[in-house]
Amino acid sequence: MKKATLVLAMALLCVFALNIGYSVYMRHSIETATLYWGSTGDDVIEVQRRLKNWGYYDGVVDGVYGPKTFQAVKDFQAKNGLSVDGNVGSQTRAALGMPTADSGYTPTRGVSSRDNVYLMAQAIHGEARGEPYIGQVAVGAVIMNRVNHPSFPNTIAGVIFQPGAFTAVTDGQMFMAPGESAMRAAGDALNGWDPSGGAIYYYNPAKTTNNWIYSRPVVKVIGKHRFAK
Amino acid sequence: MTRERTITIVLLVALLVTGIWGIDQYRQKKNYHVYLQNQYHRMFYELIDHVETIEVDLAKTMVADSPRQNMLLFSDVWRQAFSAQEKLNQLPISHLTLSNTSKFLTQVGDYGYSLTRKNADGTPVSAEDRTNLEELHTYAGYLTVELQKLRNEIQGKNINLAGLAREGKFLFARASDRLPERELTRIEQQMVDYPTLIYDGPFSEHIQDIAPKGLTGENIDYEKAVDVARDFLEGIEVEKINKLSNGNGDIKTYGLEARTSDDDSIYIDISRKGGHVVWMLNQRDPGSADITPDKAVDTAKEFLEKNGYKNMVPTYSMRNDNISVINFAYLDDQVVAYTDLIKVKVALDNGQILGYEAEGYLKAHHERDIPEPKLTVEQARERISISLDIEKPVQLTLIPLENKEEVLCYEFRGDFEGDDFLVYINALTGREERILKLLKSENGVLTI
Repeated sequence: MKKATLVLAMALLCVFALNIGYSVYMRHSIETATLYWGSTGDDVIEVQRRLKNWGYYDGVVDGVYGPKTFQAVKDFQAKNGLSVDGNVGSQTRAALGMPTADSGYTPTRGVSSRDNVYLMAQAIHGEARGEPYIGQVAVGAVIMNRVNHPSFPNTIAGVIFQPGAFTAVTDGQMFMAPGESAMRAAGDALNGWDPSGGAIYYYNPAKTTNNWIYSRPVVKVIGKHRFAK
Repeated sequence: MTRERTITIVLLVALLVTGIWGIDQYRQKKNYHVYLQNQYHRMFYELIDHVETIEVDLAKTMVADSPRQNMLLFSDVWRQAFSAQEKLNQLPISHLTLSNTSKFLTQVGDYGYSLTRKNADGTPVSAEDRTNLEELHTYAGYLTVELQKLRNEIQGKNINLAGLAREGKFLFARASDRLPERELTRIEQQMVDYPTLIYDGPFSEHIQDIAPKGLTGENIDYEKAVDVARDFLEGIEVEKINKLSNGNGDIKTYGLEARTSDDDSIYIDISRKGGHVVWMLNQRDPGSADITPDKAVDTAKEFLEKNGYKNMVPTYSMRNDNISVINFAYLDDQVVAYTDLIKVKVALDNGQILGYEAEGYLKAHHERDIPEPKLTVEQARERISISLDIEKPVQLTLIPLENKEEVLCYEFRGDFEGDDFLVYINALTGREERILKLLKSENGVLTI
């Protein structure tokens, strides 16, 4: 019994020690990225090159962190509101536009919440180009409401391209360049404006042949479209 | 004689050319058709695979006893259900025929994700969850068997799923083309009675039924709504106000259109209960940007204060062309309630308010009894990854979880190798609730 307790204690201690070791290692790996007087290497060349381009540094780009580099870094830091210590730490690196640690990580590129604006604007333009502005936003809002509804696909493209869901998609009319008002309407719908009152369907009573749709409760009428839940 | 001959030759050549063109068209059409058929059949077969796996995974959860195994199974259910739903919704079949099955798959997947989270927190599968799982398994089994039957018919009768995309009225449509749709309709009718799932996920049944909390006050009539609109649009020359359709959604509204002296339309919806402005949109497109985004934030804040929203703090802003969209959150005694959200659109040419959206605020805002944090900032700080360089002062916030539940969190803003993150640590439990990534662009900062 006593032995078991001892083994357990030892095991816990080991885990503890490993944890500390790991965090020390992590800190170290970040700190290695700091450059200071006396540093050499490619990173220093990069710092010198950038500082020279911006006029802070007038020495040779030789990869040796000497007094001139030190002074240039201090000037750069002072100009950019960083703490002036003459070392290139993570904040100075970031301000220089260099990757801030010695790792394989590359900062995010290209991701945007407006990726779907154009696609949605095409759908809106195809479906509702003759409608009042608010009716166009409402069509976009229906697309958003469908994305958040369990019975429909979970992505904007999934909802728009669901077979048979939108006439303008089925007959290919959506593949036109969207008008400027459709682009703005798509932006508003993506930003959360919902003039449709939470609708997930809409129809034009003059054109629809589907009787089922009339059984849905209408929550809003805009222009020629009835919006229903 | 020669003339007739020439005509004959010309006609023959024309016939030949038409014939060759026809054959080419036919082959092209056939290629497209086969390509489409292959896509649809692949999706259908994959759908069956996914549903079968869901069935088996759910069965395994009955005998699984460790959180580890449960997590593996539930996350697989989540993945498979998501894929199944995606494939199902791409089949060329009317949405009406798929809506219940689609909902079933979404909810099973979402529920699986919720149970994965629960297991990660060390919460065991409850008796209620188990009952749900038993029933869901029965439905997954039903779906499997029925889809397999349909598959056998499709194979036996050599039915082409691409035929479904063809309009049924045409001459060459085969009756058997309609069979999958008929069968799926029959399956669909059985997929309605599976248990109502209430859990902490975005597709949970109760989410749709949450009553708006911020709609305070008495019911108003239309005339009063017009007054509210006029007050709200103060500073704009409104020629007249037209009545548009009332809104019968979650928030019942009067819909109004204000015509300005410049012949622009401003749309505005006002709640019947309490007379709150739910949203407003002015379709004017500003032609230039003469004021700075910072000035736009001040303008928006003044506008909110003028309309009685005093404790709103700007959180994020984004610029699209000559318009700035600014998010405001309610400041509840040092705590930023991100749940109570109002968005304001400001024109950058003259600072006019072009849009207003308060649905988030009206649905979530209420008198809160915010608990005292149990963790100190330092204790919360210890729970943040050391990879993150904390940049900003820590802020107490109320954030909405996926099930709209509100939790009190410390918000840490930090940098990792040039990328900015927001990390939320639950101030009561210390749980790392959420990580948001900030995207900086020339258009402003936004969160994902």
